[in-house]
This record gives sequence, C-alpha cells and structure tokens, in this order.
Amino acid sequence: MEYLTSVRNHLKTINENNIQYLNVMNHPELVYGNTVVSNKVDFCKYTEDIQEEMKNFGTVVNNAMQHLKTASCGCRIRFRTTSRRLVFKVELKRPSYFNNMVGWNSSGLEIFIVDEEGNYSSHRIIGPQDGFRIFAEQIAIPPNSSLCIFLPNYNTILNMLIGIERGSRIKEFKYPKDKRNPILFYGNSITQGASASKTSNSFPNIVSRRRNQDIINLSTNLCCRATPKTAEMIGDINCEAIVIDYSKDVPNSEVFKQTHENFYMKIREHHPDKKIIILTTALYNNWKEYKEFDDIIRQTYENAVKRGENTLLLNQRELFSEEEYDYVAIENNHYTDYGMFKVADKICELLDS
Amino acid sequence: MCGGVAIILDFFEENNQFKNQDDSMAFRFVCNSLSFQIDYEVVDKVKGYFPHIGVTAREGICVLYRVAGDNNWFNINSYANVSPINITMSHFVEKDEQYEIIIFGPIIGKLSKLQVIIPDDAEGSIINPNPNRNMVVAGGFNSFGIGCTTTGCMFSNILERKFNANVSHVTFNTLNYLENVCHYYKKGVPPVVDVGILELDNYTQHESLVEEVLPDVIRFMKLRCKHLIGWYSISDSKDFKKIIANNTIKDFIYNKDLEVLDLSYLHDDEHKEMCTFSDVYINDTGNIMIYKELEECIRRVTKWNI
Repeated sequence: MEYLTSVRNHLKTINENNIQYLNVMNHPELVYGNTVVSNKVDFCKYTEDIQEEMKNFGTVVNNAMQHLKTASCGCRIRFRTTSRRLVFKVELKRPSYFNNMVGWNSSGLEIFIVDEEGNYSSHRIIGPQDGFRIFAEQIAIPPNSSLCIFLPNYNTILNMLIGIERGSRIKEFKYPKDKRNPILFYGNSITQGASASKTSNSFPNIVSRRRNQDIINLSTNLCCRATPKTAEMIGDINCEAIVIDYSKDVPNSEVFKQTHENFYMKIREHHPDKKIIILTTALYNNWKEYKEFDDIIRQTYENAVKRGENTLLLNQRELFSEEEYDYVAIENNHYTDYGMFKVADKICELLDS
Repeated sequence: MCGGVAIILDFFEENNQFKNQDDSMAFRFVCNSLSFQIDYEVVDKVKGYFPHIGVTAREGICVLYRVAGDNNWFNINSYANVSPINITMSHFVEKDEQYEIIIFGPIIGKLSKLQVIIPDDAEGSIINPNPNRNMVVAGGFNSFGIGCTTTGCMFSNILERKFNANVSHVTFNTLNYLENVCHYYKKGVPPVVDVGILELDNYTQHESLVEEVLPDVIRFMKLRCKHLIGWYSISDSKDFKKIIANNTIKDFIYNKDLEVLDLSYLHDDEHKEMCTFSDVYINDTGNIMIYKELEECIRRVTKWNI
C-alpha cells in the first residue's frame, strides 16, 4: 500500500507504466446503491429536504447527517475486465477509524470475484492505516474477472481511480434481469454496518450477495428518524421490497408511538403491494428504556396484517439465546458478523417466503 | 461524583493481586451503584497497520456487566482515548441491585492505571481472580486477539467470563510464536492451571518450527496444565501444514496427553465470509466459533458444572 497526497500522484512502489486509469466518479453506470441518477457519481442518498429535517433533531443529529450523508454504505462498484492487474487510487474523506469498528469496515473496500452462477468469492480487502485517507494499492486478478467491490460503510469516497492494464477492457457488470430492482433498507447505525468486521458483512450487503441482487441502504448513524420527507423519498423509489429497521435512534417510547405506524403507513401508501419487513429492536444488554418499543412495532405489524397487507415481522432478539447476547453485538446493539449473518439469513428467508 | 467520600477501587495498587499481572486482561468488581466512573491509562501504544483490530481493542477497555444471580453477561461498551468515563447503570439495573462488572484491557497497549470510582452512597469491591478455575491460553496472533473489534470478542475473554475463570495469556503477535511460548515455559515455572489451551499452528508459522518446537511446548505445558487442549484453524491452501502438525502430535494424542480440535472449517466456503478476513486472519466470529468449540471440550475434560 502506498499513501498519497492526491490520487493524481505518481506511484513510487507500484509500477503504473502500463496502467490506464478510469475515474470512477465519472462512471455512475459502474456504481450501484445510490439514489441520485446523474452523470457523476453522487454518494449522497438523501434529498435536501431530508437533510433540512434533521436540523429539528438537534446539533448532534444534524452533524451526523452532514458527516455521514455521503458514506458509501451499501454501495458497490461492479465491472468485468480483461485486465489481470488492477491499481486502485482512493481518496477518502475521513482519515481516522471509529472506536468500535475495524478499519476494514469503516474505510475498507472488499473485492469479490463473481462467477457465472452469481456466487461471490472474497478476493482481497484493502483499506488505509488509521490516520491516512489517500492511498493506492494493486491487486492481481484472474483474467476475464467479474468483480463486485463493496465500498466503505462509514467513510466517503471523494475520488477513486481504477487502473487497468493498457489495452485491456472494462465493461458494465449488471445484476441478472430479475435482480435489478433493489431491496431498500432503511435504518440506523447497525443497518449502516456497525460493527461488522468488514464492509461486505453488514446485513444489507450480505443479503445483496446471498441473492445476487441490487440494494439501496438508506441508513445513517443517529439519523433514522422516520420523517415525513424520508417516507416520501422511500415511496418514490422503485424497489422490490423494503426492510425497515426503525427504533434505535428514537429518544423515547412516546415519540416512537407517534411515529412508527405513521411512517409505515406513509410508505405503504406509495407501495401498496410491496413486501415490507419490519424489524424489532436489536437490543442485547437489557437496556430498560427500549423495553416498550417492541410492543409498538408488533402493533404496527398486527394492524398491517389485519388490513391484509404484504408485511412481515422479523423479531431480531428471537434469533439468539440470551446466553449469546454478549457476543451477538459489541455493545447494546451493534452486531458482530455472527449477528449480521443471522439477521441477513432471516431477511433472505422472509424475502423468499 | 460529588457529596461524601467516593470509594476508589484501584486495581494496580501495591497490595492488589492484579499488580504486575501482565498476562491477565480481566478486572472484576462488584457494585450496587446506579453509576460509576472508570479512570484508566494505556501506555505502550503502537502506531501501525491494524485495519483488522478495533481501536478499543488496541488501546482501550471493554466493559460488561451481569446482575447478581444471573450467569449471563451483557455488554456495556468499549472505550478508548477518553478517561475518566462515566457509566450509567440505571439503564440496566434497579436501585441497590447488585451487579458484577468485568473490564478487559487492551491487546496492543498496556493498562498502567485502572481505578473505579463509586459514589459514597453505594458499595463496591474488587473481585480477585478465581483460584479454583484457572486457564492459560497460549498461541500466536489468533490467540493474541488480532482480528477482534473489541477485546470482549476474544475467545479467551469469552472463556474467562462464561466459565468465571481466571485466564492468563501466553500469546505473541509474531510469525513464529511457538518459539516464544517454548521460551516462556523454559525460562520459568508458571503456576499449574486446570486447562491449557494451545494454538498448535497457524497459517504463517514456519513448518520446521512445528516439527522441532511443538513437541517441547506440549511437554512443557503438560507439566503445568491438568488438561491440555490444542487447536488449529488452517485454510485448505496450506493443507500440508495440518499433516505436519498432526504427524508431530500423534503420539501425544495416542497417549491421551492432548485433546485436539481441528477448526479449519472456519476457512471453508460455508464459514470463511463470516469467520475470517483472509486465509491468515480470523475475525470476531471466528473467535466466537473457537470459543464454542473450546467450551464443549473444556466441559467434557474438566467435568465443570457451569
């Protein structure tokens, strides 16, 4: 790995004589998981209206939105190439790691090779040292590889160049036709990916891999507030199914009572037939203040079922025994991969049901 | 903290059993306060390329609790770079309810100060290591905790809290760790423990070392451990290492000196995404799976009723 001051720097330890670079930011057709359609890659998934709404929740929430609104959680770069060597030059926004997350999750890129049947095989993880944000790395790949690169969950890609061998080709690598309509995840810091061991192991990313399907992960730490504009935005996105993980960022049960079912109903108005999976709280240390939350969630679910809606409930805590709680998550709710995979498997099961 | 005189539990004060106990990472106390403070300092921090270790695991602390009468532990949080920290227990316990706290220290840096400050209207005392249930974990970077987000995820620390045991570490973040383990047992006379857990080999260790040093390590550990459990988890790309390791230890297995767990399945197609970063490193879930396998084996060999 080489650390740089700019992605335009020439490399000292990696031979780039025979390398031609493609600026990913100019190729939105290679990037999956964003909500904005434009001729430039835009990792910001939220409208100005939603960003404005976050100001109502105080400085901490607003700052979180401003810092993390462009985090590339759930985003992937996919392409096929004849090149046998790739050189990555990446400029991230944030140089430092988060306390309770490894760098290969918050700032890592995991490169998977995808076979013709849509099976994913992890090839390499790259990511900078704590304290650095601009770096270059090269990897060798088999010829004619189809690649899917999972991007950092808690960092923003400001610039990214992918170098391929001169004379080799790069082309789009779309999802199969029946898997292009994305599954939309709306959630909090857990859904954003804390604290998986690597970027690909957030449960939305696992679901994407398991099903070889596009996803949109509309989740930002502290900003899962179920606002009207968010419901509208979700309502406007064409998707196959919606997973709602709304509870963690709510200050108390009164606010939760007022917002949970309303939020669900607003989304349901826009998506009358879509499968919606509602997640209960992920809470693994008996935090008392959250105890009523699951009753409220269950009520929303039961009312939906009574109305005959295509709605399912995923009770997260029922996936684990209480003896496992101390390693399901690293504190009250941020899953280890052990938790992430169980939740992902259950979501896949419910999506197939 | 205000009002009367707070109670200070100082884990490193002169007369305390924790003083100079470099190989243990766990510090326990019992308390009934709705809040307390932890004041800690970490020295010998190392700057380096650690994208597979959480910051708090490198140079912070991890805090868990359980209420009196309950065997199950629950995470509170992990902390780094800020001290003292205030912990509000009213989220988890009722007024005057007694609970136990376990604090795990870091793996790269070293705790030089650890004090718990409890308000004067509450009670609290340090719990000394359990003398009746001792274990030693010996090994390389996997046993050292490399790959963990928090130290609470290390298999050794899960064993420590689930078995209510005193687990000491003879672990080294070096490529050829068996030499270090051998040296540790050669140079001194460590206390006899109930269970020894030895990482027999890993992906990077030189093969000749396994053949030359591993038998000595097992013989040394067997003298200091009532039960010895060996384990390894080696990916198929270095399958030959399993043959070397098994050939080297077959006499020990035959003589029932050693229980062996082959945990190489962590690297197979079904598990590797969840349990590993690569052929070399396991992650939190790899540690959890190792704990689960060891737990069953420890129960069987010790007949401990937990």
